[in-house]
Amino acid sequence: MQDAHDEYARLSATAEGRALQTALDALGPNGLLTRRRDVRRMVLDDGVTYGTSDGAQVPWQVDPIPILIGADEWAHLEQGLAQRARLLDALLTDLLTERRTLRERLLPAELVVGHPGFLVPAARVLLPGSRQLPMVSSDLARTADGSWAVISDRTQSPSGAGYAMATRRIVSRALDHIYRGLPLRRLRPFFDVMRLGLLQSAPLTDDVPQVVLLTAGPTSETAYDQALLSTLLGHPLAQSDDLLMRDGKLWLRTTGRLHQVDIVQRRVDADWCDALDLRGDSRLGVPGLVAAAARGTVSVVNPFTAGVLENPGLFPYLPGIARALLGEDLRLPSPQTWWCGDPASLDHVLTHLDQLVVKPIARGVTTAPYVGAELDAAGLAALRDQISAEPWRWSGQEAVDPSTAPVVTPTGLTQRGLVLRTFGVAYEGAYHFLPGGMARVGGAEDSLVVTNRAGALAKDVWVVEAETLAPPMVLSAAPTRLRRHQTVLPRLTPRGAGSLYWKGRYSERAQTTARLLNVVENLVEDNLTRVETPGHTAMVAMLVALSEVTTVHPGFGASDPGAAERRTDPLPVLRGLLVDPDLRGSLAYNARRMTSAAQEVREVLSLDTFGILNRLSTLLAEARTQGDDVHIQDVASHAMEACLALAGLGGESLIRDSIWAFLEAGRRMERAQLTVRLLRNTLAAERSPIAEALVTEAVLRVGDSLITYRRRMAAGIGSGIPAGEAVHLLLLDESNPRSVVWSLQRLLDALAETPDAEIEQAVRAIITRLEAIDTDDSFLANRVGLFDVMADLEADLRRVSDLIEATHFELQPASRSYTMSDIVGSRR
Amino acid sequence: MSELHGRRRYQVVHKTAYTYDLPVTTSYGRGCLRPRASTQQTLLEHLLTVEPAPRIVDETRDLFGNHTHYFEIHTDHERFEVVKDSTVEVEWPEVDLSALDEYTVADAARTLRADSTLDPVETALYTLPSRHVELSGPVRAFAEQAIPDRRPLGEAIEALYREIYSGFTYTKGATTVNSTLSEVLVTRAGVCQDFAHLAVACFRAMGLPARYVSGYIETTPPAGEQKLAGSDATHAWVSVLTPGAGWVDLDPTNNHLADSRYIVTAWGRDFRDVSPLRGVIFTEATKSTLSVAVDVVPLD
Repeated sequence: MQDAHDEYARLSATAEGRALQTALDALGPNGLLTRRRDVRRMVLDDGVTYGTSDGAQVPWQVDPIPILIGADEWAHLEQGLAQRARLLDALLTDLLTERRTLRERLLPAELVVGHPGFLVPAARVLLPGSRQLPMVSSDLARTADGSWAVISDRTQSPSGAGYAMATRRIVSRALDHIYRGLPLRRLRPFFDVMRLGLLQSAPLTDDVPQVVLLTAGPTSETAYDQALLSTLLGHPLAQSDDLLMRDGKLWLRTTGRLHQVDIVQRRVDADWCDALDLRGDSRLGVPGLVAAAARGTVSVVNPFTAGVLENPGLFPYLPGIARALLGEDLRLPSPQTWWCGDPASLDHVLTHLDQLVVKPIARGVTTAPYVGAELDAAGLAALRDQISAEPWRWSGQEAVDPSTAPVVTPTGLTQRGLVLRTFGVAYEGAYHFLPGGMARVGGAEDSLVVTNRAGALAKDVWVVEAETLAPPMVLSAAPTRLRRHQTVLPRLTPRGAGSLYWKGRYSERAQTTARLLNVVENLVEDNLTRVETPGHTAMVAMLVALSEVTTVHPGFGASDPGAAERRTDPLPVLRGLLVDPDLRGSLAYNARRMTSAAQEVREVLSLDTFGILNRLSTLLAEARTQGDDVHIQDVASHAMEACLALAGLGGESLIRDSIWAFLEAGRRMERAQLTVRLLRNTLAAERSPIAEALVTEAVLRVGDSLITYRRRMAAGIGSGIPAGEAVHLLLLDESNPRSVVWSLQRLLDALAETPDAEIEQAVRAIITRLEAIDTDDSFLANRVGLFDVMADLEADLRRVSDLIEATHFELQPASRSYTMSDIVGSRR
Repeated sequence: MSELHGRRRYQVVHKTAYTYDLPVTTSYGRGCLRPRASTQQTLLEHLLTVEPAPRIVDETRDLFGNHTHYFEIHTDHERFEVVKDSTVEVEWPEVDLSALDEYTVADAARTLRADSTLDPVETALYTLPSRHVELSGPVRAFAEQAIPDRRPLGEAIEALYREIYSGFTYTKGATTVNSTLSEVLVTRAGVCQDFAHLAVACFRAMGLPARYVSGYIETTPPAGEQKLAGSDATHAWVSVLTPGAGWVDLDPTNNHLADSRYIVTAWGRDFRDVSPLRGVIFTEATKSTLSVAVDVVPLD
């Protein structure tokens, strides 16, 4: 080993490491840069995001070069981690029950009670089962001698295991030839253990315990991590609105019924979980959750008070507590730490301030650790005052110089400090760890602080499989046992169902907008300068229809001010309708709404969905940069293909359950509405025969029914009135997937998944009215009548959609907190 | 004077009602209303009535030993009422403050810190700052002037309630539940809750555990006037831990120690731990009207 402190140099210590070194060297700088590009593309295709910036999700940052941990090294580290997990669990148990550590002064009470994680209303809420800390996580750094040290513990609601999995999926593909050649531990089994481990915290129940993952929603910083975890565990994500407390029990609101929840795996910080007993201003939790957990009708994991262990001030006391509670010496070291609540330690910290890293005992949203060495005299003085005012809030820690790892940049490799986050879960009395974990390297050089917020990059961590293959992780019997039980799957939440419905509607709207733009631009190309020809008349008619169908005004519509000028120079408007994401009704707008609806329910959608959505948004974003040079028909065609691919995924890959049903219902409802609107604004008005023929053809192209139409006309099927036949084909033909009747019948099929008599009746009534339309009659006699019928039809469809929303997607009323604060007393 | 320390019985009726401009569909509540038992007080009868009738009422003890009630209402309603009706027997012995003068404030803090028989959690909870009890610079300065380290403890306790009584105006509406102590120190005005928080802060600033006590006090109408129904009020005062005499209750709003006219409901770090009634409602309503009526009726 040449350098214990450099991850790349360390590789030479093991055979697998040397193999990796050789393979990386063989790639060379260009090969690595290619892998870096591959990784970035895959991040976008998989939709892996972390946090948001200006409302948009920010891509996860991954460096292609993995970290490698040898089998022996990992086995050793794992033992230390398991001991630390047992220790933290024993300490939390003690703090929730006897508080022996405090009574016997093994730990100063101020350090615990003064920590914001010590939530008084929940200070006696215990989990059933043998562990109070089902999930553990720690951040570690490699010290100068090559051994790992714990810098901080994450016990509130550990995040990142999903990112580790996502990072693995990407790096293992980007470096597949290397990855496959090495005997490496897999990550998937850990999530099976997590699922089983969670169940052991369940309250007594006759049924299989129902777990939900409590999330703040798709705007959470770690929304992707939560969604992937939900997918891997098979537990639904639930936001505040999806849950309610009734009769002291927690329920998941699903379409049609309530589903009792036994276990809440919370990804919301404890203080925000219950506006009744914790933060009154929180709208992220469920009022009454603490009371229910206290009564034992629901288990909250990690328990509300687990955050109290996220405290660097505990470090100096852990060795003593380990001896007292476990009868063991602490295995994993930490950098030496002083808690300032202790007078002698305070003294030490104040006199060595310029050499220490100063951390508050609880990490705040904005308070980053202070690195004494980076502060000037004024900064040190200010910090000294801050500490002296409330010493018990502060700790000082020896600065850690983490090991470095190479990062691929366009200008070659650079070395960055490395932090490893590990993940453990309790199952059957023992703690099990994700092999490796998630490694992060600083985004900037010379930074001692490695956080995702500070722009860190993730690295995959490869743990070598031990030669003696006896992994304690998976119990082969366990998944089978679970599968047999999974009969009562909870249905979608109203919010989830609504998001799928709207994803369906926006994808259909995007597709139709793309088709319209394609057809209309084609007409413009041919006819713009040929004023007073039937072709020009047809072009204008379709421009008007474009504005009416997309409802983007002012546009080309009869009542739009400035429409006449726009009709003489329509391309700028068409380009806006194609690429402007801020223009409500444009293709780019619809695509964006479709993507955000998909992100609301990313845990139930396939990875392929996000790949297609990403390619669509990239296509439109690139088209936008082309300005006036953009080729509208080209872009619209590609966008249409993306929409068709999404529709294909829905049709070919989704189980016919409520997920499929609401997506399908949205698509069918949208298609029915758009088709009616298109027909009303085109063929329901009379024109000269030649212009009408051209408009008819354009409409049929938008409705993707031109070839069928031509074949039918050629075979002499139908009435022989061209426009009437087109309307029949798009409105009433039961065999045409583009017709309104067909769409409504499929809507009925989809809605049957969650039956509701009133909605069904309303849809059937529309079908009956449709079937009563005699298109021949309309076209021979009175088109005005047809126009009116279409207008009514559109209004009816909108009413049915409103009814679907009110029935299936209804959210809970707004909630607010009150406190009777009228304590005035009296003075005599 | 000594009759103020004899045995007394009271009936306390405390009615809280909210009316809303639109229906409330669901209401979750937490009441901290049942008087706790203590060495000075025995609960004889207690009835808590909630309208509309809750689906569930669950009584528990909090970390401080107070009785709290959790309830859920799932009936649409535009009026919500909680009535507490308790009968208590009270007997507060007279505290000999001069006996406490054997300790200075600093001695007392030191002695308590070293006392291994005390529950360290309780001591820490009542010594650290809390939501409504900030230990900011102005608060510390006020404390050091009112009850300096070297001052004999008995004198200090008396000095503190006198200082607050004479230095601050009792003004309803001068503060809100979100006012800070620093603000109170500037305006020099407030109600019992503010004075109790300030006294708690002073003791804590000097290292003495102190808690906020919520309850009621018997009031007498001005001479020649009839007492009006519902004219009493909820009250708040402070209790400080002393070596020797244990917890000593003092009322900075009324310039003396607690006596048999004081009825305790609950105690905690500050108002937030023992607010008599709080909750979360689900509604489209934007306005609510609160009415509170308290009667403290002597029974003997």
